[in-house]
Amino acid sequence: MKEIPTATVQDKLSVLFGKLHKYVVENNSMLPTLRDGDVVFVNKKFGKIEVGDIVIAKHPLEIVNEVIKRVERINEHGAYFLVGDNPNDSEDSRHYGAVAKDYIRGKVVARMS
Amino acid sequence: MIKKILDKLIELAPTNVAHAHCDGPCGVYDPSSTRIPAEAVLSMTKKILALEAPGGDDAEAKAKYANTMSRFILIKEEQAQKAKDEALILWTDYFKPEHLEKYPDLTDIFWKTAKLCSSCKQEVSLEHAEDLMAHVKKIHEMFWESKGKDVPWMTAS
Repeated sequence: MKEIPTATVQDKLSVLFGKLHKYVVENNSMLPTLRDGDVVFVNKKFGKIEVGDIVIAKHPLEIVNEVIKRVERINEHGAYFLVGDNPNDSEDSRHYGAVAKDYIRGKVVARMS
Repeated sequence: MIKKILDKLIELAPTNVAHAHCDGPCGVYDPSSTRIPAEAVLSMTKKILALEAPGGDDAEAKAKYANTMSRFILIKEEQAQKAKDEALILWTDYFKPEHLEKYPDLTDIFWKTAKLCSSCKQEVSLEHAEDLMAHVKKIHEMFWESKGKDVPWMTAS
């Protein structure tokens, strides 16, 4: 499983200059990788998304919410099947199906600690 | 020192929230939340059918009848809606694709339950109210079996 690198000085400066975006994780579906309250940095100008990447996506059933999940697979239509690292306690693509690329808001590139 | 300043600035930077959605914030489900209003629907249906209209010109008796009947109807409709809401929560939030494999008629049972709730809301049908309870019993059996627990079916009335 891909790990999230700890943020470098350059990553932190990128957040301050608006190149990366700061997100705080709420809830526990990404345990043990991410805990409730963990801070991650997200690149919204991401390139290719691969299986194993952790992404921020628009929740397909809720208007405002963004979710954080790991890409488990990419289906034949190019949609992303997202699953929490804590699958026994996660609402994800197993419930709302794979999400189209338009729903992906960014890729997690670093964590604060 | 610079690291500390940088971390402080990061702390102050605008923050977005990424929901690591759990499977229901509490994970507590129980089909009795459907059974209780469904039972109330059956009870109210029986009461409506049993309530006799007063004869003659007794205005007070007519008013009392209208008042009682209105209350019975109101409760029946409210409880039918509640049973539908609770059944839909179980269907969409608790049951998962793997349950569908084990219970291939799961979707059909919930769909018919929701339809029966609507029928019971609109009509005064003892047949539909009893059928609703029979469907809620099926949900009870699937639910507790999926949890590996032997919980006997029982009703309050």
